[in-house]
Amino acid sequence: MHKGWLPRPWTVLAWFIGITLLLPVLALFFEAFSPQAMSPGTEVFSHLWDTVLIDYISNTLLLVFWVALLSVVFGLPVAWLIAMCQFPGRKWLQWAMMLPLAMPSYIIAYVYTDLFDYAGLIQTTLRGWFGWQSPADYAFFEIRSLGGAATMLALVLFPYLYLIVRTSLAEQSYQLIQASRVMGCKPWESFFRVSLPMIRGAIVVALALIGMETLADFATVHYFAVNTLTTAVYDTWLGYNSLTAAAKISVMMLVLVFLFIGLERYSRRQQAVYERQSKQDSDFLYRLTGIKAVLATLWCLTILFFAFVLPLLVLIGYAIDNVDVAWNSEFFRFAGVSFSIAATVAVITVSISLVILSNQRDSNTHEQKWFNRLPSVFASTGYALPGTVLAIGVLIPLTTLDFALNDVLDKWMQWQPGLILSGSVFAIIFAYVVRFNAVAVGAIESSYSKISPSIDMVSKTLGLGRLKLMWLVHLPLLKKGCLTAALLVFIESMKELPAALLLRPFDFETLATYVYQYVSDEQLENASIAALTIVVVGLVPLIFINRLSVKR
Amino acid sequence: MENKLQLTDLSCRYQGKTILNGLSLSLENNEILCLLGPSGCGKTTALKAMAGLMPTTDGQIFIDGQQVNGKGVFVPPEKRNIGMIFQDYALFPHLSVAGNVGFGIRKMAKELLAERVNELLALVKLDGLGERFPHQLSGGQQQRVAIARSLAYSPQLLLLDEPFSNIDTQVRYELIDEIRDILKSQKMSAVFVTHSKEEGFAFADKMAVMNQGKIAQLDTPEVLFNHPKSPFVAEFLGKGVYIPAKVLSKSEVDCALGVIGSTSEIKLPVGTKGELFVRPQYFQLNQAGEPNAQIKHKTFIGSGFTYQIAFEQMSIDVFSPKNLPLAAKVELSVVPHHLHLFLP
Amino acid sequence: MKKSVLAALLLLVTQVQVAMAENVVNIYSYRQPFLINPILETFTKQTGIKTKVVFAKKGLLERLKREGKFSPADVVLTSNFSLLLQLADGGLTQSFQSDTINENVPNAFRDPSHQWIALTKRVRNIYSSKARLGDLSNIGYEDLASNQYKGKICTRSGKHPYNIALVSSMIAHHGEQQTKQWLLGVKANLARKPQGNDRAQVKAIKEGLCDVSLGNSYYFGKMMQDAKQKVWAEAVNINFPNQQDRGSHINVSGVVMAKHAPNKDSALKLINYLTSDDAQQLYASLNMEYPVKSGVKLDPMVASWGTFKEDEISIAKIAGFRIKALALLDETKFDLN
Repeated sequence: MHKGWLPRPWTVLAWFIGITLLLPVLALFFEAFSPQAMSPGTEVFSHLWDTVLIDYISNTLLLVFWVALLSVVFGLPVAWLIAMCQFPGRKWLQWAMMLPLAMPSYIIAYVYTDLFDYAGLIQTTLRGWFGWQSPADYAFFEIRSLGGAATMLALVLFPYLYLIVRTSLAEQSYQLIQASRVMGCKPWESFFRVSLPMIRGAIVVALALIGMETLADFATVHYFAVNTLTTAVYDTWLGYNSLTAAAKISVMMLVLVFLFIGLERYSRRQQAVYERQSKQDSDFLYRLTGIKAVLATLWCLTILFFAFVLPLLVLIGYAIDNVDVAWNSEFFRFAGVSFSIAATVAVITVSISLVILSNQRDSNTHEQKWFNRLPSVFASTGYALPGTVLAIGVLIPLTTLDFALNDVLDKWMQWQPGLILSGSVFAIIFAYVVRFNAVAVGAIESSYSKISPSIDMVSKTLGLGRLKLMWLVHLPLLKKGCLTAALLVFIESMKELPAALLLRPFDFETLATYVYQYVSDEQLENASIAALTIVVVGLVPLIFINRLSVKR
Repeated sequence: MENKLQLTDLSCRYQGKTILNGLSLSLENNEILCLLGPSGCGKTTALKAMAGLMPTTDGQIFIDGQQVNGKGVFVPPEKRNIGMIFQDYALFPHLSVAGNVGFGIRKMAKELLAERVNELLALVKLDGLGERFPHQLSGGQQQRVAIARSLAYSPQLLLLDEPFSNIDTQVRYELIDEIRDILKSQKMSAVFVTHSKEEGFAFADKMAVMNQGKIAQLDTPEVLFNHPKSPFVAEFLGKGVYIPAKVLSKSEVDCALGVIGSTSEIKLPVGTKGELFVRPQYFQLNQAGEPNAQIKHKTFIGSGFTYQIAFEQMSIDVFSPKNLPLAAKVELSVVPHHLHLFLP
Repeated sequence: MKKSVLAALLLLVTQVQVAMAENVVNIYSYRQPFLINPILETFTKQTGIKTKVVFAKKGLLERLKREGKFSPADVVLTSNFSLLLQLADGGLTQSFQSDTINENVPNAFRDPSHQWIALTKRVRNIYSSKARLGDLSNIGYEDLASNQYKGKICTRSGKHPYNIALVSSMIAHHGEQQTKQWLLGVKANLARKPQGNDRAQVKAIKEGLCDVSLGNSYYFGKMMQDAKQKVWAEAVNINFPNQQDRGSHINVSGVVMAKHAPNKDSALKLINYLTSDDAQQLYASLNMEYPVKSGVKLDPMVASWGTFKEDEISIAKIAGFRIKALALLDETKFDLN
């Protein structure tokens, strides 16, 4: 119990973290709506509104819709099969289905364009076989389209849905399904009448994450020439030079983001009610045999093939063909930099998410709950900011801080160290933490909600303080959640581009920045070995954590 | 076929372990059968096999004369028209009480459905709770919802898996009586699985004691209790002690505690030696007589005391309404009852 | 824990310090490393001055603005003239001049107030299918809107700086209204939605998807050097538009000196070097661009395209229509289906 009005140190810390991570967003808005920035902005905005903005908005909504729908189509059957059924290959598919996470969307987009566009291997081969001469001779889907971009994004994002829904399904008691079967439901009826309503919350949580990732994506939509709100932000800011108009468009995106975060939070709480049943079944609900087993395995393999194996093979092909230009003796250094930054970001996000969530958990009154929930919302906002926007958002508070720091140091010791924060790796790490903290908060929160509140009460009666409760009780119980969080953040950080590109200090190169130079020039072949390295380095922790979770 | 349910030679092997091993039993119309046994004896597996939730390796199952399991025959659970009640009730957390109760009813107009649901809720005394959600109910109430839900679509057979294990002891037997009355009033046939003989005695018409995937004995509770066919059944249905004895006549045996009379005919030749199985309540303690034993331990259990008595080399559990002092020397004897001798 | 944090901070500080040491020049580059690195290497070899580069395609201007007086950047290399003018207009540059520069860079390619200079020129060419269209050397940008190219044109996004500059020059010559009509005409002639880069359009011509595309001059040369892309380039003619009238649209790459450049002397040395014969030669041979310095030998292939007439309208005038050009591209929904 805390005394009087004085907030507990833990709460202060949580709020401090929350606001710090919100700073880039706040800074952008203060900057955008400052009087000197206002005047030209309104004009640009209304011009955009009159011309292309409606198209951009509808493209954005359509893109989010299609990515969400395709993610469900890809991920839901896989999650259900792996959680409920025994079929050949299930054991390794269980972790293999996470592999696409390690594949950056800009790489998969490049590879598929190379295969499927008019000049690509597939169409060229078809033309060769059938003697077609021009596009007018036959119909073929356009890969560089909204649908194409949505497919690419869904192929690399569906593992989020798979992971979250699989966990949720695994926590439901099989008895519920059996009860429905006995009451006259065929297996598919049980799925729609019992399983689906109960995992609806988990699906929404996953789709919220996927939606935010989609909003933040720039590389893929840009490559596929799909104009979305993200494009509009860049256009207005870097083209029209109007931060105000850019900020106004960002507000529209943030409305979507808050909608997603809200949905996510709400669904998580609903979901907690359904997952309380203890589960004793060690067996599978269905043991598939014959044609059903073959179909199950085939479905999983097909998705895995298109989302991971095929792009990987194409990359390997590029690498072999271009080994002389693609090999760079500095890869090990780049890989080292990528790895250490991603690891640092993973550790930081997990630590601060623990602080925020632990404080959120320790709320007694209704008001307190609301008050303590805010930091985790604040700390998740950065997730949907496109990289370059985020980078500049990060620069504003960091340079301001740098200036203040220099002033103070100058007064005290006549020393001006320069841009200690914004000019160093600190800026990149900060940007990544802002960007990916939502992932850590999400993964750890779902783990937290499964710890019974009575555990906290027991610990308190045993005289454990906040810190000891955290260290001795919560942490061991949250181990799996923390590892998952760290893994996801690590992989995302390995892939993230634009923020690093703009914020990096001199002569600073990660695998991703190196690869991007070539992707942006449509010459991924020349960076294929680096791209492969990104994927492989991302795989290492994936396999490690999988081993850990299998052992338990 | 007259039987509601018939299992013949049912076997079930899973991952190299034999869980059911030639199980046979039958159930008549409007009868409640209890499958009783220690954990791991296969009783839940047997129940799931009847429901079609567990594949069998051998043998047949007939429900109402129709074969549902057997060589090349498998009727899926949804086509068996059975009701099932699970240990944790398996209420759907996303549906209201009314939604749960109406779940199994198909193709019925909305108003009729609502009417039927209300009828059932009244039957299980949950009137007016239809809008609530399962997590807002007590354990007993959840149980009633589960009962109502499985009766709603008039199944021909009801299967209950440890249905009372999560209910408070105080209300458990009330609930058992109540549900038994409901089943009887609905003319339901039911199979009921438990590890608690008290629940079985209170709920079932017939009991089958199971051991290692087989039926050890199937009969009415009284017969099982008084005439167990094997030491396993005898011990499972209640404590007792084995005392070496010899048949003296059709109504008497001789043992270390003297000559004991039987209230039923002993169907063994005179002179047969065996082990007499005596339950605590058939002993008598007498302070007045010639002491042959000593009280080592006593426990008050409300209706009387249980004593641990040292008699010769044996330690014997005895129930007595009398309050005797600890360490007292007493005369231990056996009252005449249905004597049961197990042969070596 | 605390110690290591402190140590890390110190390390960062010292790193920042190193960036400000003499004998080094810090570069923010919009131009890609594989292009400028060889030039910088030669510079270091000749002068002993080290170079440090941050490359990004977007946002460096914003970064410079934020960093203010503490910015470590000495020079900014840009790939088009809009950026040069935006940097200068944003007050992020300082004036610089030297005899070397004055001697090497013609007047037209130097800012009158000495805030920027251009380093190389590139033409916005029209590529055309050798097989299907034959000789198109008389073509002008205006022709792209004519009916005969219906469904035959490929281009990258209208909002790419190269295309924005072209549209700006169209406004400068023909006015807003006519340019809008032109854009609508071109859009109606597109074989596919604007996408990819300039090379991808040539590839599309080779594949028969379209017959005409817009592209910078040096891409042709670069493609001829690439084993895989050579076949694409061989399928097209490179045309210099508007030879009969005003001449072909020219864009420039250039350099500015950052307002708070900590290493001014080295920076000027680098800029001097970039205008020198050596560096200009490298620009010409490495990236097939047209050097601003007269008398520098062109790459043989570039030379083989012959001389051509340049549009001599001033860069500043074109740049003034940039926002208008963007607005027209939005109004015509050039990039949208």
